[in-house]
Amino acid sequence: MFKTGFERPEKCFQCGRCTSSCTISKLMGDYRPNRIVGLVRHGVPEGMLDKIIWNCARCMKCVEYCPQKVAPADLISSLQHRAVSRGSKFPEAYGEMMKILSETGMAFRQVDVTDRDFEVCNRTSMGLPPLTAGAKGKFREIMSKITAGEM
Amino acid sequence: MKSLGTNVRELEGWSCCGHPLKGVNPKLWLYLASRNLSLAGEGRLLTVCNGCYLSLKEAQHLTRSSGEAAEWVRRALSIEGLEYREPEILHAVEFFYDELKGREVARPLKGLRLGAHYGCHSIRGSFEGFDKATNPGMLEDILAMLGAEVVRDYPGRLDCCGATLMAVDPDMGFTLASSKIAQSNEAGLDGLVTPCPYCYEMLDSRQETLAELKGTRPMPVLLLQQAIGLAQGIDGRGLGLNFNMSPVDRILKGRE
Amino acid sequence: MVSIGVYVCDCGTNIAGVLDCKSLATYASGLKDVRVARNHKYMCSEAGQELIRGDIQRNGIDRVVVAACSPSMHEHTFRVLLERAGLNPYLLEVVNIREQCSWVHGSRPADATEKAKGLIAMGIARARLLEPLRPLETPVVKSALIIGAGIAGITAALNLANTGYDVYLVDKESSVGGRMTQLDKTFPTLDCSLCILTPLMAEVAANERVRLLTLSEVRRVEGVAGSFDVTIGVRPRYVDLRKCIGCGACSRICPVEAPNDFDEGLSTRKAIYQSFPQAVPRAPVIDPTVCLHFKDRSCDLCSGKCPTKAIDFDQKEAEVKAEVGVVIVATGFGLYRDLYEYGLTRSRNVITGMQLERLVSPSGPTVGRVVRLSDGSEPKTIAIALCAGSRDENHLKYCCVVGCMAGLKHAWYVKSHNPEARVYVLYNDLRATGKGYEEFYARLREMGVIFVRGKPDHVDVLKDESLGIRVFDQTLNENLEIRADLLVLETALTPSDGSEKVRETLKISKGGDGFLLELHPKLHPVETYSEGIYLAGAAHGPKDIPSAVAQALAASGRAVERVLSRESVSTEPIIAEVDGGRCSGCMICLSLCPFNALKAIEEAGSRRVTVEEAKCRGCGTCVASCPSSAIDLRHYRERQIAETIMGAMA
Repeated sequence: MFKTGFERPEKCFQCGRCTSSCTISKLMGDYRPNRIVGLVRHGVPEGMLDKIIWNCARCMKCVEYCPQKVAPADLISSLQHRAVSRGSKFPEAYGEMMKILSETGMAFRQVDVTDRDFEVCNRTSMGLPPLTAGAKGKFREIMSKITAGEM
Repeated sequence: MKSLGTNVRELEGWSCCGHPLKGVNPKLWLYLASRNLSLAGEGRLLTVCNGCYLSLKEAQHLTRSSGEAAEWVRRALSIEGLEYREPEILHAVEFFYDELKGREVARPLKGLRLGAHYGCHSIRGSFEGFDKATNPGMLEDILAMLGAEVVRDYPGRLDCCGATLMAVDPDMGFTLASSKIAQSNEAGLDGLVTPCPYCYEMLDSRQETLAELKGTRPMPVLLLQQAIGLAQGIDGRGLGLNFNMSPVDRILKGRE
Repeated sequence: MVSIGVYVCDCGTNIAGVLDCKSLATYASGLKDVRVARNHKYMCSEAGQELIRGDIQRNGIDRVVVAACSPSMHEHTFRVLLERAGLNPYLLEVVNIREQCSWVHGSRPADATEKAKGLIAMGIARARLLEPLRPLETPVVKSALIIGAGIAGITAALNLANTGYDVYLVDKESSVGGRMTQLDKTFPTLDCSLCILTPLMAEVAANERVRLLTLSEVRRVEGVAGSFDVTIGVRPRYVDLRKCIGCGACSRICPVEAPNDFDEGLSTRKAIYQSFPQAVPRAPVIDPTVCLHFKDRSCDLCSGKCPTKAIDFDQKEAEVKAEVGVVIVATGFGLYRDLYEYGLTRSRNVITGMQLERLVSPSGPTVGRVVRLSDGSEPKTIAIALCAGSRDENHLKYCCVVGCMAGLKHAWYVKSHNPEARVYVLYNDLRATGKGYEEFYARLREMGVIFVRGKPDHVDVLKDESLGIRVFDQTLNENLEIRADLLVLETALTPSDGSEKVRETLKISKGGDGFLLELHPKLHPVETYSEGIYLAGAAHGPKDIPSAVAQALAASGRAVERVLSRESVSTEPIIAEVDGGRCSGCMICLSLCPFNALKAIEEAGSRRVTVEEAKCRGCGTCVASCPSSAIDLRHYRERQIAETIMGAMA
């Protein structure tokens, strides 16, 4: 499996700026990206981090402000993937999304929306052409192959 | 778009860009993103969502820098008979900045104190963006071109709206969105403009929930295209203002 | 007919650990003109050298090929050996089978040995065509040019002057003294900076051997070590130094105000001004870009007020030509300011360390009071952020060396000024390595300054221009939110504004970080790749005052030892040579020479080119450009190069 992120945990000199700027750390004192990078460098068993890594908001502030271009958010993304590959539990919403994706080619189902005047609207009622997105034929096959880990 | 005379069409056969799935299945993300790039060919691909912008930019950056990733992408695409392509990926902000530069708008947003909410992924990520991440100014420039009184800096301007957290911990998401609205109120803004539909959903659509759960004082929130449309004199319904859950009528009132 | 001796070095295991050195010697012995081929564990040792010496003196060897480490290591060693053994030192060829072979092909020993054979064959091919050469002797001019009159430049100037050499001390500012003049105190002793500097400034102005040229820049430098021809441009001061008594009446009456760079933009100064009260020379200078007289002749209030009629609007730029033996570059440092994320330019209460020095200085814009620039009030909570722009891949990658100590000093300023204030130092690492530095750090801790190990987030500017600083404190394991009245940034250091121009004029190198490059980072820290040009002070890299002074003394010492103390300097005879018979006088080479070493002459009615040997640096540009092949480079002749290449293909 090739690397899909741009993380460089080996460059970290623990200045802590990722945690200083972290959107989540402000609200959850236990969530500290600098600690996650440090633990990975120490080589702790990744299972330890399986729960906490899902709290990342993907705001990329740690990636932007890190003076050593460590990209902690990318590291956390990689840890998430490894956790899923090990069969670890992940937030339900992503499972739902994958299901919708395989059926429609989009991450969300198109639904009717009630506007401020309590009118129920959708694309058709607004005179808009249908979206050209879809999940048909070979595209659908490839998606399910990748999801099953066969590619 | 018509009012600006631009020619834009929907990408035929597009799919989700894979952005929300990067952590769960990065190969799927890479495939979905690269497939969209392939369908776009060598032209200009306009994204109207921050998440898509980040997703496509990073996918392009990855395939350019990793031979292995590029190899895999080519194979996956070839099954459907598609080829790897490198379109120019444009974010709505830079696109509209170029379209509006040097133009007079029909009904300038005079007297409106507006602030920008870029949304994380338009400015931050492992790619060469369209603006400086620690000090972006293009969106404020657009608002100035639209005739508004622009607040160029305020505490929390570059903060996250919390949209991603709805999948994991909705309460934390609400806390973040509420904080953004509160900071905009603190800065004395008449309205907040964002280019990202995800952020728009957090900051606008959920304002009633925010008021209930966090006691947040309401703040009008507009999607960038809505702000531009208003400045072009386009009718409210035509801009989907009937879908805004934040008090946008405050903005509309002054303009009657 | 030549007799070549080939010597293959094992270099311990550096070479022999990868290459089969015995077989290399055997291979060499089978090549034409090779009389002996030997293999030794350490060719550069006494024993190894003895082998070569013996072969020269007893076995008739008259060309030597040493296959060993890079010539930059021991070419000189072997040249000296040849000379002492009675052979011309330029009859030596060093083949690099270490850095360019064994060290890079460690995983493929068999292939590497084959490559080494090829390299040795090439070396032998060249050795066949080597000619004896004599080094050039340049008579030494016993004077020096020092560019930059900060603490390093002044130290070097006085050192040389007091040793008996004449010095041209050039600075582009209107006063000497450099950055130290802007500081209030120096760490760790908290000496008043100007108090320790002004005696040196006065001495350098009074010293008979020092010709002080302020408002000056070096325009051209030609020649080689021992004899540099220098052209210096001197900008007009518009004030006669001999008449001015430094009363200041002119500045007081001047109606024009302009930003004051000396105060780092925190105050204004007049069009006619003295940059600081202790300036040397003492006379003010007129800034013609803002002075009304120069704009439209509408004002001459200053010249009217001057009691000694010292103002002279008609002064012109002057040119000073000099001949010197050495050049020392001491152009100092600049300050990095692209720090929007820390709030610089977004709030007036975010200032740089240098700006704080100006506030604290009794001759600064607030006469020594540390106040918030937004409202003049005294700050109660002050944060000092170290590494602002340093060690940061988004800004400058290198460490600024003095930021930690400057940060401690600044903490001392604000805390001793107002002991009730809450002072935070936000640091990444705290580097206190010099003498007395650790003690100073302890002193600051004892004063109650709070040290936070953490690098802050993007700084928020609050309603009253106070600062919202979020920082994760690793020592407490807590996210802190500090509301600071004042934020001081210890900014990264860069090469000074004028240093790039000086570098290009002298044609010396810079490193990846932009600072001037030394010849060897360990063993030659003050020399450059150009003989006769030396480095001192922050121009070479950020450093503290004791290091700058030490380096200035070292540079001047080297200058004396290598050049000034000698009657002549040997330079390598690897220079260009023109074959008059073939030269057609097309002058293409002349236009390309970067060192102005080619001259056009008339001879027997036709024009041709000759080489000014003293100026030629042997770069070979002219050789490559000549369409008639009339120029060749001694010791790297076209024929030698051609044969070397053929040697590889044998």
